[in-house]
Amino acid sequence: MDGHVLPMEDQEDQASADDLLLWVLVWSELAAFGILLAGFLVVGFLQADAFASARSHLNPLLAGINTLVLLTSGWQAALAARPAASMTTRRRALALAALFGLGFVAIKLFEYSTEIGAAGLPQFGAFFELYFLITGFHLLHVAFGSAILLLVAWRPSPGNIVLITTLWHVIDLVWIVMFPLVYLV
Amino acid sequence: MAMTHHNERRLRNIWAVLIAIVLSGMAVMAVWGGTALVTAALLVLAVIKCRLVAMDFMGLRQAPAGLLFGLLAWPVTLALLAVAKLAMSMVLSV
Repeated sequence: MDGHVLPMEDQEDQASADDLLLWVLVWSELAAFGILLAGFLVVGFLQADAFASARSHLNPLLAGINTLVLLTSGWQAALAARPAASMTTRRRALALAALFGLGFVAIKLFEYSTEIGAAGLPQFGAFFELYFLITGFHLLHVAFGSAILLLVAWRPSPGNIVLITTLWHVIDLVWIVMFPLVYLV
Repeated sequence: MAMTHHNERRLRNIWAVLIAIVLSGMAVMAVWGGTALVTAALLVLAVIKCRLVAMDFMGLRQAPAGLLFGLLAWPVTLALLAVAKLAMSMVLSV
């Protein structure tokens, strides 16, 4: 028997452990962003006027465009994760998912450049501190996730493709919820 | 493992539906934005988008129901918190 091939029971145990680790990671992300967003809502309730006037300095159109970009990236990630897809298709889809992710980063950085001037002004309360903290934390996830997508596109393996695409969809879900909570509520 | 078994055409259709929802939300926001009712409607759209991403992009349609419901509890809880905040703000401003 090949020394590198695990017996079937061990392979199932390994797959089950990988699955558990993946979902622990998913829920760690959701818990962190959930606490941040809930905190944002609470402070927004306590500083309602400051948050309302601060929001007039945001650009919801760019945030909407970024939602389109990230969903398109998620679509490519889903194409890459299909077991029926050829490895060439998977690699192309992973690279495209990463490129759209980097597009999201570029648009968000441009949006920041139009908003940074209003940060720190006392009439806006804690809005911009929380805004840059929460959206910046998400932006780092997108930038890091894009780099991992490119890495996996370069050296693909089925397990790694499922891992990064699942996390990528979670980053997508976080943005979908973050958008209305930060820009509108 | 979470992965979709949809074919390319099905995934493209789901992507098109998601894009249509986002564009509709952006149009509604541009025309009627700012009211609590519109914001609540956009929160509902956000939950619908999350459901589509989880079921069809992540492949949880084929996974045990607990995984899907557990994941969707996250956007639903935050959307309900946001609606509660909107309602309390309206009550206090009356």
